[in-house]
Amino acid sequence: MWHKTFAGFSCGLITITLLPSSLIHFYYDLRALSAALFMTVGLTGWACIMTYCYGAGSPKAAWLRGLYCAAPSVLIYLIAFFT
Amino acid sequence: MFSKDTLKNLTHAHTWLGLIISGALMIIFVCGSLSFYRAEIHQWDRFHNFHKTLPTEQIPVSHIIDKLQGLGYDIRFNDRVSIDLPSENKPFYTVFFLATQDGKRQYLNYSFAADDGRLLDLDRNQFFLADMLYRMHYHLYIPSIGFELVGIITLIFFVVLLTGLLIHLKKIISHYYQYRIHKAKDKYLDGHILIGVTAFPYTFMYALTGVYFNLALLFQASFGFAAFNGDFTELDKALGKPGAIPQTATGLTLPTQQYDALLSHIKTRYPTHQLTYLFSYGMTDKAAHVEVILRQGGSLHEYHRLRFALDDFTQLSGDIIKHNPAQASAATFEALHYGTFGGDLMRFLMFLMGLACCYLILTGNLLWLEKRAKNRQQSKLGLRFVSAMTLALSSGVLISVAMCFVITRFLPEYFTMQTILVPVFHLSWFFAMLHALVKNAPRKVMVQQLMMAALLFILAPAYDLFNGMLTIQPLLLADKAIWWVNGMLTIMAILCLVIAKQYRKSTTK
Repeated sequence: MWHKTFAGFSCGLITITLLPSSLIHFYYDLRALSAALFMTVGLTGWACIMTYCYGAGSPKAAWLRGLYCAAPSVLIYLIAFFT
Repeated sequence: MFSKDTLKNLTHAHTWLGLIISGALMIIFVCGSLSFYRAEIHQWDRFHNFHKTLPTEQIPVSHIIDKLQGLGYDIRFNDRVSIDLPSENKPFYTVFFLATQDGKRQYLNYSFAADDGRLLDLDRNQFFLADMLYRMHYHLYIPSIGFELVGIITLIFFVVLLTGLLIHLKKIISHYYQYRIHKAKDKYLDGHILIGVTAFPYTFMYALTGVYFNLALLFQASFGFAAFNGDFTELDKALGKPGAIPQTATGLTLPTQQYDALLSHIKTRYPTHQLTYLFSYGMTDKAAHVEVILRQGGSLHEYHRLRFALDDFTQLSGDIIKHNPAQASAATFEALHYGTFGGDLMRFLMFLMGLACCYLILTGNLLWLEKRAKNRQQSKLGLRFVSAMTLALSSGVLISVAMCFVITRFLPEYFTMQTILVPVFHLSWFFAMLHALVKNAPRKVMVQQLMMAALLFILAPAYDLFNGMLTIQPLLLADKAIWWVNGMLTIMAILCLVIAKQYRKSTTK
């Protein structure tokens, strides 16, 4: 259970932070809207990712589920940051 | 919809997480529900003290500035001086400021009578019950980490809600009206589900807004690094936070009456708003700025913050909430969480929904304890301790809260409430734990503790009614706030009695 908790918590936080941040790097003018989205949709998304990880059958599966969410957002963020 | 394994994992997570956070969550919800009536509890608490009503003739705010300057503190030019203006629920001025005392920079507060400006011998912490319940609700009185801890507990509560919803999703409509009364276990489960489904929109809102309030710092910091490369000034701009306008003192002094003129100017411009707070930056210097908070009742965006130059009343910042999406979202969260926009009925409904969450915690814990007791491999001593702790932090919390009301009503003259209420709160649930340890019969213990809580909850309303009817203190019957609080305590007592009665029936069977 602790693995599922940490996987959900950390991967959720990474995802909900990096996705709106990428939006800001792509379209700087949308920073205020992006911050608002981060607060409303992002927080719900964090809880959803944690729930998704708790649905996994093993600690490894939970980390994998977390990575399914976090890895694409890290990738998008890196592209947004360096372009 | 979901595989059996997924449902099993979600159920396991729902139970495990629910049990871990249930104690803290019970405190958060009981104290939070009562905090919907925070202003009324202040009024109810103050009854034994003076300064109860708002005088018809009030002194202007300039007198308070004069008095504050007369106190001789060294207030720095850019430090904020906050003035809480008199209102029906708090009929006196309170001033907060940062100054040097005993060699340390610290926040000080002074209260002044609204009719003649005399310094009142009262600390804002003297009427402590309402503040204690409110603070207990968001930081549990745990130093340093309490605030963030409550945030994480709320996030876990959010997950518990989502897992509960997913577990029950397939049967959410078909089993909604199911309430099996023949078997105790089924009855609790059905009750848990019925209340859980009904209250879901509210619990979802409490969870979302609660996470936002308590974990805002954590996620804003991460957002600041990821989106603005660590430039927090840019982050503040994106979030629409009013930045401190750098000023330098001119050395020229304005008369304090300038404050009265500014307030009357604001009242003319915003006739439907109520002035609640005033923040002064620079006191009476020619370059001083004044920020005011205006309240517009019945609106989703209830509070508006405006900044003016003291010298010529130029408006320096407008109503940010209307123009910034992040501030608008935050203001909407605040309005939804406090439920003040919908009047008294809405607030009462929010109070009941808060209590519904307490019912979810009570039934959830009882279901877990009874299931656990059937597990033969479980260590008996371990189960006894966990059971006592769980009971103390569910039904015991109700006794703790009720005890605080009893102490506040009956012993205000003998103790300083700030020093006594928090220990009373914790000692009460600790004794409830000892009681559960000695008895070692979860359901019986819960029944007894709920009946005890009901008795304690009804004591203060009964005392007020008795006093009022004998016309010893007729105001006890005339004040709307006192009615609200006593009504709320009576509802809590009735609910405790009803649940205890239901549990007792099934225990007897």
